[in-house]
Amino acid sequence: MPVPGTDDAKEVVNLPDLIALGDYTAPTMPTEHAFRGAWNRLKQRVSGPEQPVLHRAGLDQALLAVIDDVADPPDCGPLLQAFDAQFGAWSRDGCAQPRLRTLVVPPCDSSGTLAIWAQTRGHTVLPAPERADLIGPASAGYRPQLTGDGLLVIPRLERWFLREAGGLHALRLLLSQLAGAERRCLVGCDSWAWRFVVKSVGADLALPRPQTFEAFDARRLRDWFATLAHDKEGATVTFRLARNGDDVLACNDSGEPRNAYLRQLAARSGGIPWVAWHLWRAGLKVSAGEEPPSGRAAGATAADARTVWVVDVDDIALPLSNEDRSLLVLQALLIHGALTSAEIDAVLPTTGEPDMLPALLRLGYLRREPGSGRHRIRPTAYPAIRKALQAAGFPTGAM
Amino acid sequence: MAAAEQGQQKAARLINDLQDISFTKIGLILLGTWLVILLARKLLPYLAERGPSQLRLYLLGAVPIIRLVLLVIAVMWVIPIVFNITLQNFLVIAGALGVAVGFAFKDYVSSLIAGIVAIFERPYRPGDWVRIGDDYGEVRSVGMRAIEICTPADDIVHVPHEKIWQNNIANANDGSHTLMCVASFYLRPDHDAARVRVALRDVALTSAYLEYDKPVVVMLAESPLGTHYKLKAYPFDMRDQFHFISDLTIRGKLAVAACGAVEVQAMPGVTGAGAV
Repeated sequence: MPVPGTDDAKEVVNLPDLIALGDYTAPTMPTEHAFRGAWNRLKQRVSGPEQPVLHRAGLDQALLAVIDDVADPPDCGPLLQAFDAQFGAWSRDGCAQPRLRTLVVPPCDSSGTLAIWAQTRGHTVLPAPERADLIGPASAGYRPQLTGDGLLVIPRLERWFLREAGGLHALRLLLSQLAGAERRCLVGCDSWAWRFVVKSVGADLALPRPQTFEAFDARRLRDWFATLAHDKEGATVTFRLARNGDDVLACNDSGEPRNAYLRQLAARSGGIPWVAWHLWRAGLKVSAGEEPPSGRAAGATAADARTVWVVDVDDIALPLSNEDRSLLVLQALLIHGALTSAEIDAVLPTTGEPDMLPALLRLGYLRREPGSGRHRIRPTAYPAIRKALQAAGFPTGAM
Repeated sequence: MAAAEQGQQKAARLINDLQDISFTKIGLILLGTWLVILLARKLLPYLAERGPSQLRLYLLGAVPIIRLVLLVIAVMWVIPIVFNITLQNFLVIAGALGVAVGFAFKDYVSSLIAGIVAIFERPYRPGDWVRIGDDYGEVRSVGMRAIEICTPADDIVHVPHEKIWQNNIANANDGSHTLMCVASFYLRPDHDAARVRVALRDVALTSAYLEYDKPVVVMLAESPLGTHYKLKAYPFDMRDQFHFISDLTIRGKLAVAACGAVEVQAMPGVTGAGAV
């Protein structure tokens, strides 16, 4: 993990600024992309599929070690440096104003970027109560401890409630205590959860105006991925599209990526760094058997020290039966971050419909955390999920 | 002089000479119009059910408008082919039509005209949930003479447009994607009403079907049965209204019990059930 202050960190430029949540603008799909997609589909029907530089059969999914070598963790990338740039001075100054700040974090942040930043900088992190303690008699006796010195970080407000009739007590108590606390506090909340807590407990009234980081557009993604694109021996890795051999990270004179791939990736990920990073890694391939490329591929890679191929990753399809129930499960997971099977049952309507978790796990929408048994949305599935929830009319996230 | 007489004779003729009427052309116009209307009736509802939820009502609402426009175009196209249109002939045709309609097709034509008025005044559109008389349901289609309503019991009811002349039309969503749902609870009066009210509000706020941009309200009033709570909220999609009300009712009962309140049992004599 690159820590700010190291050489890795210095290489990263173009850090995202902190902006008001309402000003967040997700990158848009290149205009020609939709037309080009339709044209390509039509062309394929008439004259058969276009010959790619390398066929998928000639490509292997890159091994995890290889991927980690050329697109290494963490998935939040330069965001840790951005935290330092935006909150560093404020967090160290005991008299800094405002006392309370709210940061809305994009969804699918499985590593907990804000918590990592707070822990590595030595700030106090307020642990969220166990979900089992959020409902029932245990919730009445719970009192969050906000006293102490220094900055207090509450990294995941979504862990403080359960979308259940008796599951809002701890969150209300926390918000009322925050209003009266003297200590400086940074509250982080997932964007889907933020929309819910604004509606359910009026979090926007109890907390200051929320802020968020600017979206990761194509240029930011290019800068980030370029800093990672060195293998262990220090050789620069060239990422080429398997369909036409173009160098994905090549820039024009104004510093913008020459190829549309990163613009599409930025739009598809909604400007969310970890979603873009996971989609990027999912599309990385190496030539099967490390055999030297032939034909067009050889011409394209002649000057490369090392070539990694990039293929398009398609969206996953929802289970055809019980789609409504699947969407309810996915929305609940986006609001809460991660839930066990029992917690999912508690927050969903009781309808007697079959359990959708096995199907969603099998299709790659979710992953189960080994220790806790909690289910979490895979970042690579987020674009498809967001599209499906939006099309079905669900209230979407605040970003 | 001869030309003027010929012109007068021609003007006096109501219908063009048969050899001048292109029946093939008329047939093609009618067939083409019918095909496009059929396509719109099949394709737009298909797209509405599969496309984004926000576009659903616009797509469904476009069907009657497209049909009206196409029919007007077809009629305006065919009439000059068949009839010799002059002011005199127009008056003759209008008079004959007036008599025929007045005696034979009064109700039918009344419904047709009401259907045209309904397209512009829009008391209902495809996709709306309406109550006309005793019938409540979703407007499946708006035809030329009648609308088709699908009730919650999955009955299809055809209601002629002419009902708009005499009946009140209650439209639950009026073109919007959501509508207010109400879950009722009758409780014995001896309970902590403030606590129950807050608990019921939380029930709605934590429902998976809730539309966030609409208000949640809990109202209560004393009634002969007990304290009557009405939990009013909106689902994000009106097609979920019965799921939403069921969810509110199931979780509302649990919340009421957790507050120590007791629901009253309906008395047969009061509710009418079993009164016979």
